[in-house]
Amino acid sequence: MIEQAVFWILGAIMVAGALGVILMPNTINSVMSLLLSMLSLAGFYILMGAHVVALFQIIVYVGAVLVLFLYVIMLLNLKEKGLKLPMEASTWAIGGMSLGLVFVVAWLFWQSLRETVFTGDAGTTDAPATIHQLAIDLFSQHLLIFELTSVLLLVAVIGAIIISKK
Amino acid sequence: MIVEILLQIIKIIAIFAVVMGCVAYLTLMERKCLGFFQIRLGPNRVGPWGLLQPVADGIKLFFKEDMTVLHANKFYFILAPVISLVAVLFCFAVVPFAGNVYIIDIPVAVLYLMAISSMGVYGVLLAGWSSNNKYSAMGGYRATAQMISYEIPLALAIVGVLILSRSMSIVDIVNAQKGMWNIVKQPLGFIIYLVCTFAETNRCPFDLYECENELVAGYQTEYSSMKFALFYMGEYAHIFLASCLITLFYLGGWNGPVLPALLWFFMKVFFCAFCFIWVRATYPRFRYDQLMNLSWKVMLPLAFLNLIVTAIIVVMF
Repeated sequence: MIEQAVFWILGAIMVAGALGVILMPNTINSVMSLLLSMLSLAGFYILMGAHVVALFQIIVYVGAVLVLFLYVIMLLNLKEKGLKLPMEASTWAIGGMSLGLVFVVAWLFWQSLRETVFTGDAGTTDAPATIHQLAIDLFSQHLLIFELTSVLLLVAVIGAIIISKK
Repeated sequence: MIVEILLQIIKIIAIFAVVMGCVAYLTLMERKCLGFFQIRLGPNRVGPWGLLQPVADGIKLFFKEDMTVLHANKFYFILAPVISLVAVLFCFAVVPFAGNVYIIDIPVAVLYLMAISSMGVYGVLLAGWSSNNKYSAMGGYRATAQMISYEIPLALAIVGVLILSRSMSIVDIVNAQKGMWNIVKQPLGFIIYLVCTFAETNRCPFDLYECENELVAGYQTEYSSMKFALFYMGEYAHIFLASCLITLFYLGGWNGPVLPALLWFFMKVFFCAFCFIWVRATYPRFRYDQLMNLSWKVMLPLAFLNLIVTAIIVVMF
């Protein structure tokens, strides 16, 4: 009962935040809306019993990525009137296509999840809850993906250093 | 159910009261100690030995005129000091004062601490931006760059402790130090953690985001009355939190012979707090490029070295 209430409240906050990101005329407000979205996403992870994922969500996105977004936007000092989208045919076409894509994805999710999720428990318990289970999982079952991701990150770091040296 | 919730609320209020009391008297302690280091008396007019000085300061700040500058973004201007205090106070939810004196002991407490304390940056950054003042903005930018840079070696230094105690629960970390404190097993990690903590809490020699001879008062230039007091409380609460964490991670927490656990804990915490004040009274401030070089070229490689050596030794032996 309480879980359902929390779910709907978090959902409402998340959707409002997501809408805020694209509708706010002030870019700082957009970033802060994104922050709200990210925090409620962390709340969803906690509802699913994945506390570690929720905390990493906050550490990585809220603690680092969004701070840098905010930092860069404040340094750019954007003026509100300069940010209006040009109302051309291509803008409308891209907007319409994106909206259509969102609806298609939502419809696909709805179709595929309708049978499984709404019957019985939401399957909250089998997510790896403790850091020990998560580590064992990560370094046995998903070792290849983990190593590939770390190589990707290393390449990105070296790339960033080379670009900033120029 | 209701009794449990009530008990939990009472615990929260009690710990909150202890934390805020310590924060208030840390300000007095700082002024008294600075007086001692500078061969003068320090505050001694209000109450016996100046003991009522924090109360007087609080009343004074309440009755100051609460100003909001005209060009400020009102919403973020008010939100910023709230974030910087709340982000610190939230951390005390998982900080144990003794083996059974804590609000909650979660198995991912260290991650929780890192997550919540990383939100404190927003307070400083938003305060600097919303004041619409070049000194405030400079202070905010410096603060963000500094906090993000020093968070990385800080986290890596903690990982060494986590490997040794094989747990992320702070109670387990302290219990693992029963025989020998982590400062003996992790001397390099301790030094890295200490230096990074000084940078994170915005203390001298790293207090670059409010250095008064360049930036007036940095991000808090435009703040007055209780909004300024919130920043001030947040800063001292952060010092108290940092002292607690140094004690818990490296100085054996509440472990110690003869005396009761709580007394040991608070003795160690106030010794750490004294070190913060001692350093402030002794060292000059860094230059900004020196600060960044120290973080990325010295602290980060050392933290990695510490982590690798710790991991190898734990796996081998």
